[in-house]
Amino acid sequence: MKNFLNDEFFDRLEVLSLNFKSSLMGLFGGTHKINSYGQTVEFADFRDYVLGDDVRKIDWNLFARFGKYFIKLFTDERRMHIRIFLDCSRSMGAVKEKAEYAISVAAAFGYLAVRNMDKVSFYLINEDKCENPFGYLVGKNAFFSVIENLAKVKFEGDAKISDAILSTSALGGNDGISVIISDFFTDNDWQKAVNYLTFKAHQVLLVQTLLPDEIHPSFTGRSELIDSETEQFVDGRHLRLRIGRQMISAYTQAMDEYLEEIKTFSRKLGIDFLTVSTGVPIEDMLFKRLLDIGLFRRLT
Amino acid sequence: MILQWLLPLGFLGLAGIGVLAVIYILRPKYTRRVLPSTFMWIRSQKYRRKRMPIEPFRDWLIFLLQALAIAACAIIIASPRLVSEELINESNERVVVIDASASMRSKLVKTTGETRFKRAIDQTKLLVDEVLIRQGGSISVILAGKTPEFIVDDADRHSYSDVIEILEQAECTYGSSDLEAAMLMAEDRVLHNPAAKVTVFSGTELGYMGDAVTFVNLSDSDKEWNIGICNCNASYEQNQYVFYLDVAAYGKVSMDAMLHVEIKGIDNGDGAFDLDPLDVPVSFNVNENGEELVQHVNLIVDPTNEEIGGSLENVVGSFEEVLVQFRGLNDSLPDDDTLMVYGGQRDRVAIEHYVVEDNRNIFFASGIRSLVQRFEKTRDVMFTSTIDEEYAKSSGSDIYMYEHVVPEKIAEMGQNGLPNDGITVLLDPNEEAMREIGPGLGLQFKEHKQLGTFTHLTYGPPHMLTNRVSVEELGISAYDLYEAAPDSGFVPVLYCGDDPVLFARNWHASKIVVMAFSINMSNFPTRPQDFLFLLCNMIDFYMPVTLSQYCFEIGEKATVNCKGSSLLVTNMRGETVSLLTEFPNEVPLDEIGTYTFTTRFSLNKPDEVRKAYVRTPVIESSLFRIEDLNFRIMNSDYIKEMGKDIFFWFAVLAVVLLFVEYWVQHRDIIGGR
Repeated sequence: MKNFLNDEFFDRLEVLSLNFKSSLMGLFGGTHKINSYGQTVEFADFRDYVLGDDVRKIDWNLFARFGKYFIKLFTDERRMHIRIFLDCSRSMGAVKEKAEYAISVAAAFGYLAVRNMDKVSFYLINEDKCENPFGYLVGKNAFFSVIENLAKVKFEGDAKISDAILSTSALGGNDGISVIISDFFTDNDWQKAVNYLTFKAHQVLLVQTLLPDEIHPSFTGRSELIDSETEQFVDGRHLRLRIGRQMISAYTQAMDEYLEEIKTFSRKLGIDFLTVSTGVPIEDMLFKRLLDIGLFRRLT
Repeated sequence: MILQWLLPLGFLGLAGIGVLAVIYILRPKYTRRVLPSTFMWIRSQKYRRKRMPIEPFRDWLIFLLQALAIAACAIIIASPRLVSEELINESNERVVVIDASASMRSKLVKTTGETRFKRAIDQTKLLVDEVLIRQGGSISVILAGKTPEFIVDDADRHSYSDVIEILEQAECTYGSSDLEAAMLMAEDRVLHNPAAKVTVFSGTELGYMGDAVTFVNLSDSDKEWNIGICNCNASYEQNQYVFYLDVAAYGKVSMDAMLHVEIKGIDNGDGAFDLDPLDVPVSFNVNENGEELVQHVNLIVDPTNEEIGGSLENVVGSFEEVLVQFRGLNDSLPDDDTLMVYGGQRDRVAIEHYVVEDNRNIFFASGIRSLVQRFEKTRDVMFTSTIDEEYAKSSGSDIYMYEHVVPEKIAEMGQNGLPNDGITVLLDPNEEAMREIGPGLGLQFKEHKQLGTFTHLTYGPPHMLTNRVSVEELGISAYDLYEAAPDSGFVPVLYCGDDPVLFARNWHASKIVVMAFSINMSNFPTRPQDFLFLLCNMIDFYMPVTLSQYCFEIGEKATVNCKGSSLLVTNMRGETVSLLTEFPNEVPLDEIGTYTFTTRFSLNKPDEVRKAYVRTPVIESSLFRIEDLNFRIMNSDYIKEMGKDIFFWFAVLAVVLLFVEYWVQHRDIIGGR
């Protein structure tokens, strides 16, 4: 973890900021402007006075000019809640690079959240449970106090994303971003969880973390492929294949179709989806791809 | 217990271990790879090139292949054979059975005169031509005589001329045939070649013999008929012979025949003479429409009947031979038209009994009378008893019995004084005489033993003299003790305690019985039957009849015995058939006609001649008889030998199944097992 979760890594993130959808309402006390009007000192707009409005907010200058009562509106700033759902199944941790990458992405989102005074939660999905071992983190101090433990998260067993998220309480609503970091290599109906989060009016980001071998297998020949989540010879996920060019081609085709399937699903729900390869530097993902899709923005 | 292998060839199956080794050597090595997830690999399968859709049935397919492989192994153990009906039908083997019994000598009287046997041979030749030349098959010919034999054995077209020559030289027998044995031999061929066909040529209807057998009945009731003499029995009744005849007609016969009877060598005590021939009329009228083409006629020939030419005033006491013959019949089977009857000369047994007057007993005479009556049917027993030494014979008789005494002239001459032309029986010989002749005989007189009580006798070694004699019931109160020299030839027959009391010697030139106790001192008088049995046994033992019957069917064996030292058997041409010195014995009778049995004596006696007639079997006269062999030869069951071993192909199948199973096992597995 020390490759990414170090000061240098977090320093570089200082130039980035999360870019939330304007429809989010968030929580009180943040720094993010939202579409609704609030109590800040920054002028936003006027509107006609209606009975019941606070007379103190009437703009007397305009009354003097137009002879009508107008109410002066100010912008509102809110705190967002960043929920990071990390797939802690063995398929994510079987290869060290993949786990490190996933944790780093999670940490990056977490850091950007606390740096903007947002609230962040790390949900660790294991089997059909979704645990929040660090609670709600606000502020850098709180974040750095748990970052070491985040690096020690264990990746074990299977991850039933759908069951885990649906069973999670206090997911709030319309209050921030939910980031799901997984390889999405599961038969579990994870789309149901995404549907639920969008129903809760979360801004959702799907980050699919894959190894280069998973995107394009580099091995050939007769192989007994054993799923790391079971490591049982007698299992439905066990395969004995003669991997050749034709097999690789089939795999690539299947992978493309699966990605397209996820993208289509994401487009329908208006959520963001990102596939990242651990072979690609994480900076490329943070400073380019997330900027490209508009989830991050560079501070000027 | 010994371990045996029914099919050692089965060990070839161990070669399968080599196949197994090859399979393991060729077994591809799969690299085990633990992937974070095989999710995409599973999804990718649907984009693979179309493959045989066996995945859903993979487990069942493997089970099926394994089961088939095991089944193939089991079938291999069971030695599978593929029986090809087509193959069987290609075979053309013929087995011909020719009945060579005497009835096959029957001629077609109204046409060509060919015998059944000749016709059978001719038809067999045609069959040989058909099978060997036209069909290119093979043929075997069984000549069914008394002992069936292959005269042609599995001959092919190259042997055609030899087969024809053998068939032309084949001869019919005068006896009966063993068709069942012949059919067994034919069946053996059919078992080896289920497609082989059997053709049987016979004049005897044999019934259904199975679909493999073609029966050719050579009898022809329109062209064959026969009259034959079934039997002529010369029965000795009331001191005379009476002749009973059984003659029969077979086929559609309606005629009056004349039976010619010649009785020769009649001897009623006034010298032998031949009777003028008798002509006995016999009428036959077999119902042509009846199912049974047989008529038996029983006749009694009376030589005193003038109507048949009888000129004999007295009865027939003995005769040398009787000729019974149908003359000029010209029937199909002439071999049974003639019959010779022998046995009219009965054995003569002359018994000379000499006893001192003081010891003469009525019991002995009554015993002899019973003996005469007992042998009335087979022997003439003449008994002479005297108390005067002057009349006591020492020659000219068959049995010399000296009771209590030995004639002085014999005693004076020692052993050489004993009769040399018969059996000498010394009944309780006197001590003085035995001291004279005993050493020469090998019997040493020791002492006279007077027992205080009545003592039962016991058996010595088994001996014919004691047949039917209840020795355990016999007892004596006194006897003379003799010691027999080891080389004397005397065999102890009865014992009293440890001492032998009855000796018997049966040398060709010296037949002697010594009874060392007096009848008066025994309980023989109260058990006359035992004494009678003892005398009977003595005659049967020393003077057995040569023949017990005088008419035989050809192929039979005559049981002969001999009262002399040897027996010469000659056939009707005077040729020696056998010269026998061991008795009883058997003489094979293979020719029709009269056999002569001449007994030669080492004793001073002339040769004794007896004759017997050998004829064709009576049953062979019945030309249209029906017999059921109850024998079936079927070739509808196409069994073995014709089948092809498919052992190898099942072995190949097993290997292929194992390979396929191996391929399926190692085919890409999706979803694990």
